[in-house]
Amino acid sequence: MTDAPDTSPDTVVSARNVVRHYTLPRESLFKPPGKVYALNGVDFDIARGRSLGVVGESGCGKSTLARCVMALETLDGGSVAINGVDLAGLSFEELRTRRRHFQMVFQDPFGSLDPRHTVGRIVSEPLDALEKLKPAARAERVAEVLGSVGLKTTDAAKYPHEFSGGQRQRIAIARALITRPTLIVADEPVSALDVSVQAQVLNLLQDLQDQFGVTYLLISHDLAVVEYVCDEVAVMYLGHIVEFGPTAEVFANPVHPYTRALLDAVPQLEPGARKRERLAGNVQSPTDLPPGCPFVARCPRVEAGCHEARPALEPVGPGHTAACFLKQGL
Amino acid sequence: MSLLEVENLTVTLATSSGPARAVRNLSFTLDRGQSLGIVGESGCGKSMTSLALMRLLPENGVVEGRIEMDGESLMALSEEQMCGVRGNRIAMIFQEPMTSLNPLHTIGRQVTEPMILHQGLSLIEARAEAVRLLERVGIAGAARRLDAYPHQMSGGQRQRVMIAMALSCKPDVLIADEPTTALDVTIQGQILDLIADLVEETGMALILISHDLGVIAETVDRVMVMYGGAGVETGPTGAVFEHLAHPYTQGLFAAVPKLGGGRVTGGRTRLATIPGMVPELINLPAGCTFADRCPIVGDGCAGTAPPVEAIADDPDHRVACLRLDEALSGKVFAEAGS
Repeated sequence: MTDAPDTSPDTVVSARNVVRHYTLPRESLFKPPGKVYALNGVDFDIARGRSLGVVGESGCGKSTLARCVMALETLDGGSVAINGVDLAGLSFEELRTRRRHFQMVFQDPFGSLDPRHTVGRIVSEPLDALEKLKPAARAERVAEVLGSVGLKTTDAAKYPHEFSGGQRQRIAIARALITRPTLIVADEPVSALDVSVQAQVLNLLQDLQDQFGVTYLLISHDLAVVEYVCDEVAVMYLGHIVEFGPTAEVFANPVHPYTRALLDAVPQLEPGARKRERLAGNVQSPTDLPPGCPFVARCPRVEAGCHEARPALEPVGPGHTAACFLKQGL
Repeated sequence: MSLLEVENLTVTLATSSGPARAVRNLSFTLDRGQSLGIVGESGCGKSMTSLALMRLLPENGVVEGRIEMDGESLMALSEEQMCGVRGNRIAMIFQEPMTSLNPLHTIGRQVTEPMILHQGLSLIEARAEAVRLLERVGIAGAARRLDAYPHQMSGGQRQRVMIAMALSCKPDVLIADEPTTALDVTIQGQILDLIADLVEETGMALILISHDLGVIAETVDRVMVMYGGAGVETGPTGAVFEHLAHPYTQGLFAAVPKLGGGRVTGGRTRLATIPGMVPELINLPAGCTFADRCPIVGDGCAGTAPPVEAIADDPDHRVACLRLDEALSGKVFAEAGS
């Protein structure tokens, strides 16, 4: 990969070496404050109309990545370009007008909608922030977008509490769609929903992509959801992408030991316990950054070299990369 | 006589908009060493069932029916007697390891409390026992961790502490209400393995409540599918997953994205969906609770509650559906990918 952001028209998101470290509160006068190493150099591109899934366990930096792509965080290094424009160099006002191109859907459909506003106002708010529209034109846009997520035009006058969780998530998706964005970042969009409702929302996400050609960056801890929605998948561990590639290929032939363990840990719909390789230990805290492989403490096949240098993402198949020294032997 | 017998359990919650029937006419039995999984979506009454067993329902809840443990009715016990059962003979692991431990007390105090209370152990004996329990549930350096506070432990470790607490009095029945929902998938595996091992080791009975069909499939012997407060299908896990008799079970199964069955290259697969949404417990139809979402609903379905009947070739596999033959003859919901 080159260091320059990809500015070709078919690339919607181009992230280069994204670094984000949070400083912890100072514990001692005489020691430097600790840091949370949330993202440590993450690279990826998403092509127009495609979807990238980011999977990993809690604390792996996947939500921080979503916030960085949405320019809700200041980067500590690297760059994120959306539609070829590097977001880091923009003024507040320029950034605000560019936000029409990238919108976000949050995890909690109960907390992310203002209970005191009508659905019409919630959905049209991003539009109001961007352009002055006549009330009639605005109502038309709202009706159009509510229709495309499967809600009724009359729902615009209702309040969020009148809707179920799945319908609220549809409202959140409508709010993201109304600016006609090229990219939608969805952070765990279905994890708060029941199974039967989750299926409806996942189908909706696919339909919208077919209809409008939106690009998705989907953050999820549920591998099956990612497999269902995403063309490509990035597996993250402690702020690093450890494996990246086409979803079908990565899930069928996982190379990195962490990807394998993650896939193996998903409970299957077949009765009877399976024998599997369990990962020992917990997800480590991202507060220190040892020089070796980030997975070294839990890896079942660790070797001496793993402690000393960090493996880089290297090709292991068509479009498929993995960061592990031992990939040849696997 | 079974260890636990529940017959026609009905829980009604008085709400400002009328009575909500959270559980209706639920019956099941549980023997020592058996594990029962209760699966369903939010609002199906699975947590209310476990709270009714523990007699921990909110004040507006009214219980009818029969709950017997070793032939003794739990509902006839006074609150004081019930305190001797809770945590002692029936123990519970709650969903949220983050909030169900008291942040102001050390782990040691919380694990030893039930043993001092129910079994009359001295503090020294109880602490020794707590170390043994914490070691058993896989907490490294257990003796040191006794004086740790909950915030000093990770989610998985806290759930292990919860399990140690639940096990401290060697209960006959362990109720685990979504024990792994708040945990990461690799940690979930560790906790489920631990619970399964402990059930085998101690011979206690397990009620595992989960919305995750995969967790249920891998952990329990018997499964009960709940919808709208009613048990719609119950049987040995293998039989239920093989036949998928009730239309709701079929819909639930088809709606889950399955790893490995997902996207086909070049084309898109669609998940089967159950039309409509989980019902409000206040306006449930008098008959089958699934009637308004069921694709094969017939004339009688909304009016009469379907009797629970055994499937012809397996008396242990029981389903509540008036149109069972139709449900069994063809898949009601198109499977994803087909």
